[in-house]
Amino acid sequence: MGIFIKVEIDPSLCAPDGGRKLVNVCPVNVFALDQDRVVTDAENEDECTLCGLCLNLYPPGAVVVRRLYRE
Amino acid sequence: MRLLEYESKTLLREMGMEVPLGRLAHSPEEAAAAAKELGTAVVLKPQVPIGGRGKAGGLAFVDRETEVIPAAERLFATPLRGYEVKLLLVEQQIQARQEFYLGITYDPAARGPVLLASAAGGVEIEAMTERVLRRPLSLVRPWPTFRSREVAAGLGLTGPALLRMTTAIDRLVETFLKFDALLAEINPLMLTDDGRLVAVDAHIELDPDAAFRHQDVVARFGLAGRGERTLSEFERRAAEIDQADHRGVAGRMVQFDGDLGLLIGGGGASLTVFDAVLDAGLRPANYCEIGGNPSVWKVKELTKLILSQPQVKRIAVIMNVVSNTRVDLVARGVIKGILELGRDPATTIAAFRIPGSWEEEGFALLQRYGVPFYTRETSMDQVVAMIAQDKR
Amino acid sequence: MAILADERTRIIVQGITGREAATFTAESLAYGARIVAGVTPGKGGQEVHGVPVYDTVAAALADHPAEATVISVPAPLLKDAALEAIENGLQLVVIVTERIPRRDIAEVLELARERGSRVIGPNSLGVISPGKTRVGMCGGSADAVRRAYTPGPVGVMSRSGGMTTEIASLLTHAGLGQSTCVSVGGDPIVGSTFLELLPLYEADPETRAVVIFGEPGSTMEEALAAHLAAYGSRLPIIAFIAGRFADRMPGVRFGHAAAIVEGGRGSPAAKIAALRQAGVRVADHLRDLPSLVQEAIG
Repeated sequence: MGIFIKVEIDPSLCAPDGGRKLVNVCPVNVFALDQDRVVTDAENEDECTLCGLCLNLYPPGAVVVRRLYRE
Repeated sequence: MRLLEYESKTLLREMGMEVPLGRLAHSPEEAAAAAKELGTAVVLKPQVPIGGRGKAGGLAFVDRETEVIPAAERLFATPLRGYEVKLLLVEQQIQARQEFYLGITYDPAARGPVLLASAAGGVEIEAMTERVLRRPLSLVRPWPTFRSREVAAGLGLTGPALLRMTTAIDRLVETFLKFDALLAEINPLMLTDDGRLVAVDAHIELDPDAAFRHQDVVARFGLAGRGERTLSEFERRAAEIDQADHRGVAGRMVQFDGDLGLLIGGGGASLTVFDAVLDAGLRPANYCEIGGNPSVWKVKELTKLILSQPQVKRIAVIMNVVSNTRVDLVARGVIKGILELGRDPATTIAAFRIPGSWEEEGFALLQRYGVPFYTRETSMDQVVAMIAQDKR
Repeated sequence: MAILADERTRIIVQGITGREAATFTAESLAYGARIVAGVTPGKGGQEVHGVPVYDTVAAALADHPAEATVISVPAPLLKDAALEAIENGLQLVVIVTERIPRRDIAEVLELARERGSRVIGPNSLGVISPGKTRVGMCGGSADAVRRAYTPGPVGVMSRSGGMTTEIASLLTHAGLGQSTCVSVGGDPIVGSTFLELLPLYEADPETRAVVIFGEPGSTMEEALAAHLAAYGSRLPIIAFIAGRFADRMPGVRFGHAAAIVEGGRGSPAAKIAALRQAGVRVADHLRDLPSLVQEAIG
């Protein structure tokens, strides 16, 4: 996980594809496919520009972007 | 991109200008063979990218065959203003009745090219006391031959010499324009007893920003990268970091020996900050400009590189009000780099002053790590002054 | 009032479909700039943030008369784009593009002089008359521009685009607004120098002082100093010259393409001396600029 940003995915809310669209939408490659599972890349998490594109693909709560320095 | 003498002359000869008969020599033996082929009276000219070789003792006029090898050995062994001599141009000597200067360069005040001509060649144009004729060159309309004739007449020439000079000026104009030169200079241009005009020395500089139109010339003379400063290991690594990630630019990293690392904005801001650092009596470890919108990774790696120098205790991060660069991403990069070195951002960052886009986010982050930061209300040089006070 | 451009100025953007140009178009519109059309050859018929795109300047102007253009195209295409703007009668041509072949820009500037077009740049972030309009991309987003720039009596001319905003921000913080700020461009040859823009400020009743930001290289500051020494100006001029350290490193280029001291020319120390001789208030420190302006306008 990143030092500054932690991105959490709830696959159960990412119907019907388990969040595959995230991989393409993120401009800084926070998301990657590991076998069939969508995972986050720790190094790239810190590159997150807080653009919010990943938040609008699935229902609220499916993806949560946490700014650890604000917590 | 400064061309060597023989390269400049190659282009001029191909454009129809007469140059002395010559051969290249990579060793004293090759020089001797060239001299033998050309006849006894030759001049040996080191091919290094500097002017005023004659004054620097860099030319050897040789009249006897036996003198060629010792003279060449001496030239190869004597660096000229730091440039090692690896190549000699061996040329026939030319006997001049009169020497001229011809040059074309951009006049920044006139914002266009200007032709300079003088009837007293052989010395550098800056040192010329004789009258120098100046004629602006239009880029909208072609250069008319009558203009060359007027200049030739202005140099005091008549008869066949005037006609030959007219052609020589036309050729120089064509060369300057065809190759997108920033400077094309023939000095001296010698008028011989038998009435020929020979370009005895020449210096052409091509425009690096027009290199895309002259890839043939770049390849032919191997111009890519020529004239660039040799980088230190530190500077080379900075360039590698920059190239490894296309996001943002880390330009002009220059290493110094001080203890304060600098990560500063590009252009005028970096000049302002660097002056302030020296004025405050601080000792910079480096000059570094970052711009565009660099990634967290790039800033992190640059931070680590700067702090990897053992004498560097702290780093100052100072930019003008930014509109493209993201304050929070730069802050993340600097803090992350320091954390990866196992050091404390609060004491390692002397000051962070980047106001502008996403500053609230950046300031929240800096605050969290206890880093001293400044907003736009504190000017860049004030921040530097505070760093200096803080040290005492 | 303002110089060069105000709220009535109609603007086109050449190269509008580029990423950078599309962004500054949206933000300039949000700031209130009247961008009436864009041009990108081959993309006529599209729209960028509601601005119609044309294949040629002539077609754009036929539908949307304009006085000014911002050109943001790759360097190899700049000459053609700029000649197109000038031949079509645009009076203000702001060139954002940098690293343009010297011969190309010299040709553009020669034609501009013949046709009476005023060129700002190349390598310029543009012109901004606070509260009225922006021609270019100085200052970034509309919100950021509103924060850094405020309307008022101080003209700003800067060889650095970034420092144009920094200086405006310093002045704004000190309660000093700006009439028009011009990023004149960081290249060795630019279309409008300090000396050429000064008369416009002098003719603008709103402007009461002018701040200039200079750098090593070029002779723009020296030319201004020579003029002021001979003729003076109705306006107090306050200057800051950055890069004094470059005097110790001749031949090394810092920052902009023109920021290089060569053959004894372009030395910051010499610029400062010449400007002081001519009665210009030269700030020793950037932070002193606002108080010097305040002093000058009373």
